[in-house]
Amino acid sequence: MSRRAIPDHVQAPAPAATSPLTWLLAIALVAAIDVAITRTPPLWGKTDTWIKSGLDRAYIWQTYDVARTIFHPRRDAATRVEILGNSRVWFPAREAYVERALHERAPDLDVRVDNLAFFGAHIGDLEVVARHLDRLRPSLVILAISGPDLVATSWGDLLNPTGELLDIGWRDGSIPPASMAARVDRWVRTVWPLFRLRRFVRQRIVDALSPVASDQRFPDRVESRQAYFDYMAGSERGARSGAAYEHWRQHPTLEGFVEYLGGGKGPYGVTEPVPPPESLSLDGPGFVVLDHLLARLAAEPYPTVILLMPENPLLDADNAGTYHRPGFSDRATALIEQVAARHRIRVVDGRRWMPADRFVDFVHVFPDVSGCQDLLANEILHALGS
Amino acid sequence: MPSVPEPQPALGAIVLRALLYALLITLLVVFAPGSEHVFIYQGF
Repeated sequence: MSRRAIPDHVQAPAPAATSPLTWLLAIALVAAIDVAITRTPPLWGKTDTWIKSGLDRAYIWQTYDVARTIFHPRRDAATRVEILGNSRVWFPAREAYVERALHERAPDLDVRVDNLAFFGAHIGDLEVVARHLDRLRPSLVILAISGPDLVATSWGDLLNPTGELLDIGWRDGSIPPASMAARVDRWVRTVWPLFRLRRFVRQRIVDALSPVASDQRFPDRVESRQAYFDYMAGSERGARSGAAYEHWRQHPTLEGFVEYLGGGKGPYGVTEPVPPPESLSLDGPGFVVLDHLLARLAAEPYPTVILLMPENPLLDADNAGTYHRPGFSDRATALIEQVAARHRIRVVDGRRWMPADRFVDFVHVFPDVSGCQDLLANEILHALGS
Repeated sequence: MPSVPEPQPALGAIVLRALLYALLITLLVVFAPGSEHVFIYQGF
């Protein structure tokens, strides 16, 4: 085989691999792909985010719901109400329930309610979510908290991996990152949307390749307690739960409720194992985070209201402290009110809003059927001056 | 001796190469491990 000699004056073309033009174009394409992924339905199209298979998936999809609300908001509205909290407000303040309650009271009010809660969120998580509020241009922010949200417990730290998924900002917050790597992660999340949302992209791909049939959309209407039990546990187990609950309603004692719950578990049954009330102070890390959060919210043009979430009054009978830490709630409330007063933020004490038969356990009220959204709607309208 | 201008790479090669880089960067960003850790909520 003969080879033709290349004349000396003819140079080989510069390789595209090292051309600056290639890299400039690559960067432009990365930006285009970023937009195509992070601002379009392929990422944000999952609505069946009530996960019954695996807590690791559940926590990703709950934070995904919050991220979608922030980065891919629903319809625009003249009035936008943002609710921050955890499972205590996740259930009773679903957007559909609160918007319905608001429309019943103020039919002409063009309002959108965004529930930015996720399970297990503590005050550090709420502070992280609050960093995104400007994107939603709130008319009103409801900070739905309870005393246990301000302390680290075995149920959750002040800032949890769920909140860290949305952690952005150049400067460290009141809870510094655990390592330099975590700090760098936050910086990259701040500037690069695809990096910020990559866990959700990854999970979308995994779920597309291997769909989970049990994923559902949480119902926009819950007509009865039994409907709730059936939805949560299926008709067979739901029937048993409903029967146990009705048995308790016939004999509405504290012990009967514990029996309905299956006897409880852990040192305080099914309430969060909080520290002694005398250990709480304004210098505690949870209250420091609350102070920073309220300082920032108070500087915004929109009003903020702290809502202390309903507590099951059955626990009043637990004088011995078998199922909860007596005195903790009152002490935490006193401190929350002190911090709020510094920033002239109103506190609505909703701890006694609901009678015991509106609670599904010691911590959560029934969604929709409890009517909690009606009281919340009243407070929203009051805060909006409507 | 007159200087010979350095030949530029073909436009098609640049576009293909840039697309390859962009896809690789995107895949790396999405799938590379970060400092996130798994969360197990103990409340239930």
